[in-house]
Amino acid sequence: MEARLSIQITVNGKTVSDHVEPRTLLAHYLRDGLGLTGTHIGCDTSQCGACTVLLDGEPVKSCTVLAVQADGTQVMTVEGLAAPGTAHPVQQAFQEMHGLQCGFCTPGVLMLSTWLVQQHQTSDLRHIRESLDGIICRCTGYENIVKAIARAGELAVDEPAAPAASQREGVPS
Amino acid sequence: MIPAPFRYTRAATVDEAMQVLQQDSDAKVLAGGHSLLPMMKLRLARPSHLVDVTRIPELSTLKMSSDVVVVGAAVRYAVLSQSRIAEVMPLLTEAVRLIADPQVRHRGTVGGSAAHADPASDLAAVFLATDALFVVASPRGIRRIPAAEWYVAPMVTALAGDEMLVRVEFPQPQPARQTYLKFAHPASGYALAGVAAMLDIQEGMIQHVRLAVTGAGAMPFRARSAEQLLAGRPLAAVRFEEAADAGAKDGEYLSDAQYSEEYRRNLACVMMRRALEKLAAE
Repeated sequence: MEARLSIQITVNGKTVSDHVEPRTLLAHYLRDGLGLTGTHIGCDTSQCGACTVLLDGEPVKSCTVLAVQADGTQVMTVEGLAAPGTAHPVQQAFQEMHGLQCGFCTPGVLMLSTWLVQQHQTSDLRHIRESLDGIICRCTGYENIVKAIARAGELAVDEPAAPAASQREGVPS
Repeated sequence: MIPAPFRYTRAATVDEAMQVLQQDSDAKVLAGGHSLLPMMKLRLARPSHLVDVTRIPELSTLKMSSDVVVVGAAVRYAVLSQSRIAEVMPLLTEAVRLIADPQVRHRGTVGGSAAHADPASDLAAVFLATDALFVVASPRGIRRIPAAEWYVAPMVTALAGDEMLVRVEFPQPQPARQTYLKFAHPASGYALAGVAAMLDIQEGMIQHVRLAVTGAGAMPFRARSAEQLLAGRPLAAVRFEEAADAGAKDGEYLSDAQYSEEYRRNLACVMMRRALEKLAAE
């Protein structure tokens, strides 16, 4: 085994310092290292997007990022979207529009959707569909996912404030 | 899936990265990792040492001047697609926006695509059509490798083991009318045929035609026969179909379980014709 390397990542607003093997994938570190099992590993080949998290605010597939590559970055997982018991506007929209079936891809879809909402890229349905290129919903429930993302854009305009980082669930301290 | 163990060095400078490559012949350069890490998970690649070059400031350069556009090797697709380079090389940003999906475009890099040398890479057609120069560093100094010499075989480039790609230079000006058209595989999204096309039309005459094809052939290729048939001819007198047919013959095609050699050649021809028609109608 190669020597562990020290990393410092801010996950859902909390900074964690740790030592990881170079080959540890970000998805595994989040799930096994930090217990943030909301991030799902679907295909593990960077196809399906279930493991999508925001890295410095940008959607990436965490099964294809090494934890050491995330050193010094800000990571947001589905647990960081809203405080326990509350829902982020994107989550509200998915509930309202029934934007999920089995729910396995949902954490990745929510993170990609959050980025789309933040980029104000939710007004054009065709653009939403294209943006879902990196997400595979094996239930094929794309219609309601597209509607939910469009609705999330509307909700975010009404209610732009996100919960403060300190209120978010997440990293064991 | 977890890759086999390896050492990891985050290089701060090109010199530091080169030192690792020199010390360890099994070391590989890591940029976005979206080709390398999947291969490592499957043990198709098993480097002993990864040198992360993404935080070397020089490799994130984006520069435009009247005679050259410079794109650092670690510039990510998402950054490039939003950059002002669209103003002078719409071909490049158009192609980049068609690569994979949003998440992958936030990690994948221009240099990574070049060094990985997948024969269906979208950028291969762009590099060939624009006569891009690959600037590589090694202990022997800097050298520039023309795109025409870069792609040696599928997944093999002209890079030596101790060399690393630092940036790509696109000579300017390029022909004004530019496009990249892609016929994507419905499942993988890879180009079954991707065509980079550029030309000028001056007083009804076609000038400076550049055509390159990726995905269809065993290797990406420049369709010089088509260029020769069109250059200097009046737009009203040319038949794009004929030119595209001649250009498609410049490629070498292989049949596989899904697609025959004839289908691939025909697809190259059709996509070239469409690209030419699109540019002529602009």
